[in-house]
Amino acid sequence: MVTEGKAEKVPIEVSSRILRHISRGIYRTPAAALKELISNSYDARATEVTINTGYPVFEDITVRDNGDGMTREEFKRYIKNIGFTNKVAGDRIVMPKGEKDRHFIGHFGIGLLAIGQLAKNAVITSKIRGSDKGFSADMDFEQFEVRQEQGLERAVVKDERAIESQEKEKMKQASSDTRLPIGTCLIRDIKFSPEDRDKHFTEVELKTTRLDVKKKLAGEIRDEVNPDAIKFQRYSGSFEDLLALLREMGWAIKQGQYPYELLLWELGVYCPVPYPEISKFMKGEPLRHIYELTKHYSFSVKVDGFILTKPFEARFFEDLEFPIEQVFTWKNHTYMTVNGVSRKVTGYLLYKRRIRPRLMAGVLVREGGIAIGSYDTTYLQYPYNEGVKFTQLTGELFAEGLSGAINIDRNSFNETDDTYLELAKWFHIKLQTEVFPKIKAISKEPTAKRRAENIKLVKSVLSSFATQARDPQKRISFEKLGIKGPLLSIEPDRLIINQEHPDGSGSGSKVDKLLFIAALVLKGKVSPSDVEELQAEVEKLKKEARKRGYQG
Amino acid sequence: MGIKGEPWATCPLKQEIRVGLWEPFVKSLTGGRPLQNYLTLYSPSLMDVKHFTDTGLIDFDEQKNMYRGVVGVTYNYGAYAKAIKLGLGRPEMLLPGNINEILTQVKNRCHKQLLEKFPFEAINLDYEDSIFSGSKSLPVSEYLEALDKLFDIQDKKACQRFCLFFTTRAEPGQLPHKVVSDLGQIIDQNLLISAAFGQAFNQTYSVNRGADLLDSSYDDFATLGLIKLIVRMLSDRDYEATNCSAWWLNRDRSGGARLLHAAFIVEKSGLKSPPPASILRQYGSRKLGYHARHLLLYLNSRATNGLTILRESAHRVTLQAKHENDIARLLSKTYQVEVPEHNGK
Repeated sequence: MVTEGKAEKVPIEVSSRILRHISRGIYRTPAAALKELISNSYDARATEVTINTGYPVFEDITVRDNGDGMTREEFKRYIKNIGFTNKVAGDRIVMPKGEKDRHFIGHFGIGLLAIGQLAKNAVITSKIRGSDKGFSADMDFEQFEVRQEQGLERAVVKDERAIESQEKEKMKQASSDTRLPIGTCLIRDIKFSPEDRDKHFTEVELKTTRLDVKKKLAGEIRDEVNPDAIKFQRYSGSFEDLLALLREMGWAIKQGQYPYELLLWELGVYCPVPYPEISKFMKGEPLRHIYELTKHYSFSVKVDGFILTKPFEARFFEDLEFPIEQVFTWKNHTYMTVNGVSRKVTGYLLYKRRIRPRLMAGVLVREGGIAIGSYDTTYLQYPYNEGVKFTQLTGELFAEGLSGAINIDRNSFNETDDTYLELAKWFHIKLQTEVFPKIKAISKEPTAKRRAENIKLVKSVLSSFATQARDPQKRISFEKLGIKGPLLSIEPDRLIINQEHPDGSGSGSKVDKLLFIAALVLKGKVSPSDVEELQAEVEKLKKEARKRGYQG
Repeated sequence: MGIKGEPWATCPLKQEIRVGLWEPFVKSLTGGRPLQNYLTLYSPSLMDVKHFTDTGLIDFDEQKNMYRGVVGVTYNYGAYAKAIKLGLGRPEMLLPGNINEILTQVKNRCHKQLLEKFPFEAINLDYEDSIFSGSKSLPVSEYLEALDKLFDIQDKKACQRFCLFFTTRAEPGQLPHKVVSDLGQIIDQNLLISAAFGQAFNQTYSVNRGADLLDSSYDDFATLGLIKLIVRMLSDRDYEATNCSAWWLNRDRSGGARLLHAAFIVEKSGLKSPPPASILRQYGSRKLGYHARHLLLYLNSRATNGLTILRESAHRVTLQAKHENDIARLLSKTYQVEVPEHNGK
């Protein structure tokens, strides 16, 4: 190979269109965007977050927390360098005395973009402890334009070409600064009374909610598809009622018929909020250590007056029809060791023949208490097909050290990341060696039990019949004579039923047939050898009938 | 600095009505225990609910963050959103829309949900306009039609005893001429039929005819008329008012609205009512004398206690001093993280 010409060093650059696209919205759902704001509150050491979505009109969305707050200068630094942060996920956050320390959950420093995904304008107000001064910032995101709709102002995303032409104009005027402006922000100082000096908070008010967000949350997209649908659906007085609704509505939820309820459910899943105070999480129960994991976060989230908990109903555990048949738990298992430091995982899986709501089937992975994505029915890409069993398990894995594997939307994993793959491997071994073998054994249990009961029933009925038929010396005996052996045979002292024969196995659907045939034999109407012959004859006649079009 | 909030939420005169009229009626109904359920027209500030919660007459379930048994109806979606935002938590049920339509129109999307919550132990129809207004195309006011339906449902759901609060604008311009003349006639007919009523009427008002009462005291005339109307509608469902009272709130400094607040303890009557016929169709022409017995209760109470009239011009300052702290406390009862007041917004 010969090198010709002058070597040239060319910078690798990213189009502003990509950056703009990211700034416009990287979150899959409004819940995911709200989760980012909640994560910011968590990292700011808040113990309480309240959100008002403005349901059912979603005109303004407000998020308030009692976290550390920010100074005007801190905020300015932040908005001038979105994406730059000193935070590293996993770093320890020292909490006030009496509360357990936390670990940072945000690390991209792009939480502010969540605002730009939900609304055109936002007002951020914040104050730190020990000062009577705070600031208020009016933000305006440029990618939106405002339209009037039914007397209300709604933001819609501008046409891509219009944005680009504006941007070219700006580039001509701009200096060498490579940063991409996505909006403007007007910041002013505000004054608090001296008695509020020790108070601290951050409030984010989203104004002019983006039209698509509003439509999605209000269910208008659903109503546009089917205008006859009932617009105002069932009311929930508490989070518990809401969970009941989600359970009862089944597929309707998956089909997007209850978007607001789904938003709340998703927030309950995502946030590091506690488990409800229900028996399965109480002392002495196998899931107690999981309950303890979230309890120590001391973090409460209230949305529209609902107190969010992990979305479990007491009924889920007390279901008599479909009880929890097996609990698998793992506490501080090492799934990977890096430079002598082990990365731990704690988790559980519950086996239940029917999981309701269906959304809960699968496994949920948490990093720092925050869920990444939703319940995964592939079980981190488990390589074997376990059919229906995939829908009969629900559980969570609280894993350490996964932050590097999380994609920028914080809603999915980079599935080729080493840490993620190690966690998946650990989990798949557990599934392969502990979970699925046990479930298979359990799922067979009821059949074996039922068949044993059927056999007992057949014995009892036929013994009684033999007595009535004045043939008391005949005992009824189930014996193993091979799958191809005769169904019935008679010995001087007993009638033998071949329990390896398909019709003698005690299967519920065959019991009546077995009783009938055995009664005929006991009554002397047919001999055991005639039974096989008659069965073969019946099969032959059935085939003939089918040929002539009989469908029964 | 004054209390921040919507004018109707911070009004000390209204708080006086909550404290002086509504609270004693609920206490007398329940003996001080919390209401099992309460239907209210949920104004965004939900001060009535907060006041009853504060006085132990409504249970607040802290675990669920819910006002137990409270069913609210807000007039539009905006108020609905605001009501959720300003409460300490959520009511057990909150429905958007017009209460009159929800009650009377079976096809209304909230009708079934509301029906499931009946019967109510206390009902607060704190209307802000006149119950005699409404669509001109209807033969009767939609308010009265809804009230009739409400009593009907209470009856069908076997309610034996409940508390009713009813508010209407009732300044002279708000009452149609026909209603005023009918009221006068009804009073006169009752005076003729019931000697006891006549005596009490004369002792209370020092006049002998309905028309004279109208001339001497419009407030008394309208109060008696409204109470008479409600009592009569109740009797159609074999209910009687075993206690009733009424207070006026005159906004003589802000627009001149005069709001009549009536309160009743309603019980299933031991007496059979006359054959049912719709008061809505035969307004002012039947059951003469039958209700005089119930009205005596009110007249006796009126004679003893007088007629309470709260005027902004005369009472606002005093009542402001009396209730300011309580109003501020009730307003601050929200589930939201507190943001201190500042000069920025």
